[in-house]
Amino acid sequence: MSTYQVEPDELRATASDLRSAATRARAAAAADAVAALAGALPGSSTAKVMPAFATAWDEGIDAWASSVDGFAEGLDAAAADAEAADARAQALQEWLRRFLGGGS
Amino acid sequence: MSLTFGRLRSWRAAGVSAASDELRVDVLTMEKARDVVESDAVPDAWTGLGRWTASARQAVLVARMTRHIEGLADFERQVYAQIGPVAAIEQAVQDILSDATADQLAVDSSGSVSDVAPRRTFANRFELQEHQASRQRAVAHLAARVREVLDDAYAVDSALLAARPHGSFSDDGPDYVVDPEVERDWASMSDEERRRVLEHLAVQQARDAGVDDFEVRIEDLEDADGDGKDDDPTTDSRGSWSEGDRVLRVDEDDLADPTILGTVAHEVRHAQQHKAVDDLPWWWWEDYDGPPGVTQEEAEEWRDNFADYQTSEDDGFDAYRDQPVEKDARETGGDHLDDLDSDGLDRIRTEAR
Repeated sequence: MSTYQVEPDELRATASDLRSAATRARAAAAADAVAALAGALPGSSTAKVMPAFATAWDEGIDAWASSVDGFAEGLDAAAADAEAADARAQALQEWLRRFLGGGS
Repeated sequence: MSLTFGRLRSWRAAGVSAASDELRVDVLTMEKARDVVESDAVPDAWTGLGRWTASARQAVLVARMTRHIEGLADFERQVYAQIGPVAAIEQAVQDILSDATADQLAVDSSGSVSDVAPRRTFANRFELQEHQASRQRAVAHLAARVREVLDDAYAVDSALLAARPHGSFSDDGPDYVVDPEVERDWASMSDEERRRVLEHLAVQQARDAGVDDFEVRIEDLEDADGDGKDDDPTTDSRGSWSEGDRVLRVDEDDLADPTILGTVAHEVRHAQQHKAVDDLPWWWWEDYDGPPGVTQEEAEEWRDNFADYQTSEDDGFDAYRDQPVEKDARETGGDHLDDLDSDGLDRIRTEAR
């Protein structure tokens, strides 16, 4: 069982940082750089082959970024779980306080 | 052959420099993204099984991106290293063209040099012969400079292609990539020599793989029934290994394509896979003694795969392509092409004579 000893807001801030990292990674499109290289060396095998590799790299980076997004979703869900657990504990404490208070 | 003098006229070092800059920015951007995942993804206060799972997932993500970044950074360094040579090529092409104009010579897009000077008259045969010899020398000299600059361009192309990142995100890229200099040399060879080289390569690789007693046939695999028509226009049969009659077949229609060198390595690997399966021990107390470089676990996986072999026709292309024996053979074919440079091809050509 997981235990969070951090504030849910801290988890959400981490999730937000991870999403930013994923977005940043997606922006690093090697296809643009390789297109520039291919344009500079027409007729070369580099120009012929590298764009297909760049597409594969960019798809790989996109898949990586999606995994990071999934990670962030997990942190958000954990923050929500932690908040719900806090709320349940608080409600129980409230009930106990009223119950015990009323019985004395 | 795709690299010609005409194409070299459009080579630009500035474009290579711009690509290097862009790649460097990409690498830095990916490093920052990777660093966030490495430092922030798992909060320190997170404990229990969830933390363990998250840490494992984090490690995979960081390792994958690190491998890609390292490969891309190496590639960027090679791109940067080629800015100077490409600038020299750009200058050499300009010099060749301006010298050609000055000398009343012409260089066409294929790199052929011709004398375009207007006809002159001479007082005697001796002067005529002197003039002709001088013009021929000028043509030969310029043609040598064209060959030299083309050689330099092939070296640049070859270096860049060899430096491309391998593995990680590159797994979905093209499988069979031929060194540009090998491609040029292959284009210069006759079909007869290509056949000799392929047969020699098959025998040599089979020997290294511990495979013997087989035949190499280079024939028309697209028209096996000999009716003059493609048996199945939807498929391209480049080669095959038949374990039953122990024949390695190569499609003669693909002889002009240098990736056929990778096909031979691919088919020899299939022969080696069968041998490894045959060498699996029958009894639990026996030791595995398979072909070099093949583990018992691999051989067992191949045995199971051969027992449930997926064909394109019945199971679809993806099922065929992604099964263990095909993935492994494809990797072997690709690795062979990655390792083959023009010196290596020269050696094989010499041995095959």
